[in-house]
Amino acid sequence: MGDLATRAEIIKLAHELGTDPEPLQFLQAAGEQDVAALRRTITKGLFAVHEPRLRRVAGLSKLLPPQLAAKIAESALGPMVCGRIAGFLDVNAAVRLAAHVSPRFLAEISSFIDPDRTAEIVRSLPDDLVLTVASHLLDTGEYITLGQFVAIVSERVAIKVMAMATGEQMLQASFYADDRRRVDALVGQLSDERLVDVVQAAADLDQFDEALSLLVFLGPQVQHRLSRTLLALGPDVADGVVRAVVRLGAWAELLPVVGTLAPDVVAVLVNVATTRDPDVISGMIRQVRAQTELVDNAREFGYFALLVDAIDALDDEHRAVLSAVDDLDDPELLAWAAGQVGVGEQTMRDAVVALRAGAELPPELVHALARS
Amino acid sequence: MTDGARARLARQLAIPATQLTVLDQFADADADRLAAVTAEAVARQTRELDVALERALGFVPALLRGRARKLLFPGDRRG
Repeated sequence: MGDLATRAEIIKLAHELGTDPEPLQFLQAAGEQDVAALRRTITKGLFAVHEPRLRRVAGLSKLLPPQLAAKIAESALGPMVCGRIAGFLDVNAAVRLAAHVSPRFLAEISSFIDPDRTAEIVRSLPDDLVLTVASHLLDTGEYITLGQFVAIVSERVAIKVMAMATGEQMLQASFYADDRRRVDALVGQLSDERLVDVVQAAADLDQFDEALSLLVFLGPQVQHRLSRTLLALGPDVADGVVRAVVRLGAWAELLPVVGTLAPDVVAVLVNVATTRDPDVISGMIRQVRAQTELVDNAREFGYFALLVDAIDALDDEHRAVLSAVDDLDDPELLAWAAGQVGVGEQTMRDAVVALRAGAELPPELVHALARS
Repeated sequence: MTDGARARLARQLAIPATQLTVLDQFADADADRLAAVTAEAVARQTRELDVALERALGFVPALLRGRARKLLFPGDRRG
């Protein structure tokens, strides 16, 4: 899942350099933090290259009446140069100037600003103007810029921006958000209906990977509310979520979410079409087993007991699939599982038989899971 | 990555090469690719800046245009 966050950073760097992400794919190996740091360094470098000239233009613009400076900006300088110059204007001059250019042009400029240098300017603009600019960014699909923008405006304005966005726009802007920690507060403000829109958009666009990469930034309350949207959206959407989790193998990152799931949501998730495939179940077992830390954390969170509920929720069709999962007969796996839970290997073998038959799990195992 | 590729990129961006140590883990060919797209971005930015400032000079009264040009295009002999 960190891969997705890194991919978002690579796309943002490509956007900054005005190129396709393809030649920068090698950076995937560096990880999100390093690519983000590199992007900030390159952004600063792109400003530094022309800093003396940009400072001179910024200085000259202050000598002109704002109306004339705005006219020159819009009809001669263009958005890229204006975006670069904005980083060298003082706040008052920039706010005066902004009042005289069209919001559409301000939206175009915002694609070229350095958020670090211009945050104070953006925060000093009237809310109405900021919202009009955000509306243009939403209309033109400038989600990377919007993601930067939302990171620097006040929470009050950011909430209003989110209120203007469709589910797809919210998903995209959140994925590219410069400050993903802010996503929790913003998404938390959305009504249940809007949350349904976001998850539906993820389904329509087949962007569950992106949606899942945001889950780790959400608090338990929002995670719980989001998971409940699956009940409203039906089995296909839940299947898309599970497919993405299996594809990403992001069990460790998603483990904390498990504790926020209500039993009816668990029932929907464990009975999706994807898990009717024995190969998928085998793959999941191997993925989980390979992550020692995941199992330790699950124990620490007290999630072993949740396994009983998940198994109870399996429908007949999914139980039948377990008969074709050979991994469940692997003595090494059973010994490992028995060791993890603290029961004998025979108990584990009995549990697999019960699992497949839809019978009750051995009481010894149920007690051990509850104790773990 | 050799110091050469990192230094080249640092020169393009007018920043200390020490700010690009993250690139040390990559092969020269990869760093060169990044340097190439960065060079293109810098060149594009320079071109756009030149064109934009030339257009902006059109708003400056003729009498002051020479002085303004010297300020905005240092090293340019047309002023």
